Amino acid sequence: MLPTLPRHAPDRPRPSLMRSSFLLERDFPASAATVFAAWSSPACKARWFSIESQHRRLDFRVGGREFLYGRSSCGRRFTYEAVYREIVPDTRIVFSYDIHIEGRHGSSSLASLEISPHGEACAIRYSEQGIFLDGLDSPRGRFNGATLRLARLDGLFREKIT
Amino acid sequence: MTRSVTHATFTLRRTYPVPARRVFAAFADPKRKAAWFNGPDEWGPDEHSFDFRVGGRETSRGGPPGGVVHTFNAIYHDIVENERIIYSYDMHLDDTRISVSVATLELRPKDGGTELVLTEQGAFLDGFDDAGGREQGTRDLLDTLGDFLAREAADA
Repeated sequence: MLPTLPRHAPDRPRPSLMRSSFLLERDFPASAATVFAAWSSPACKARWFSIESQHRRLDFRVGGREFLYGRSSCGRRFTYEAVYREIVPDTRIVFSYDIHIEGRHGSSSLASLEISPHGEACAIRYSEQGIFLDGLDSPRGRFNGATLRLARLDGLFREKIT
Repeated sequence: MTRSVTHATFTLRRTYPVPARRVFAAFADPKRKAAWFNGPDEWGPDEHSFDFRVGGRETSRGGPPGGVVHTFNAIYHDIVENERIIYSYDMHLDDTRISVSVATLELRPKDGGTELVLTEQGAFLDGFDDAGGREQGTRDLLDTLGDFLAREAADA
């Protein structure tokens, strides 16, 4: 872990923040119930979401928390802590989450997932509105990470139908 | 019911002729916060719980007598004394959740006073509220805060 610097140490940058938001739309070859389960069931979620995490806990209900701990691909310790704010089964999930990197607060985000069935498949809209602090975490990295995670999830659905 | 999520962002700026620590205290100190963070006078006193620390929660519940109950549930994500506060909150009308938002409050010295920049990034649910309505409500609240800060400065 990096040593904790006093907030106004001469070599520490001033507090800064950056905002960013994005929307990803995908069609998944799976039912709304299957897509919802991929986010709500701890066993399903562990197969595609932050698979590098060494420890995970998911209490999927409004007010419930999710916690992940691990090392990123570049070796930095991170924690992910979410609170579920809104759940409509098979339809919608809204949650807020914080990322800490090497013990420092890197970002706070609000995320929403909307699931719309069409025939045997469904369309999803995944959106994030984020605040990135003190240069620790980046909007580009977040967008890339979300894109990769959805691709991995899509891959799991396709494995099941082939 | 048709389910929908509408995302929107707005930013409000105010300059208050008081030091940043006064503005910060109005958000951080339970007594001060309760003095201005309220519904209209005719709603009467609301139920308020307040735990101002990272990970702490705040709830406020009130409404017109016999009318719809408005509930605000917040979580504090980041606090830098006299500089910034990040919180997320959900709003309910009776038992219906109408929005979830994340907001940042930044304080900067300006013209011998303090500029407050409040940005809210919100997800508005099922068309019960929208960014325009929320922005107007927040504008009114910042005016109420301004009146409170002016009274406090006059009493000092």
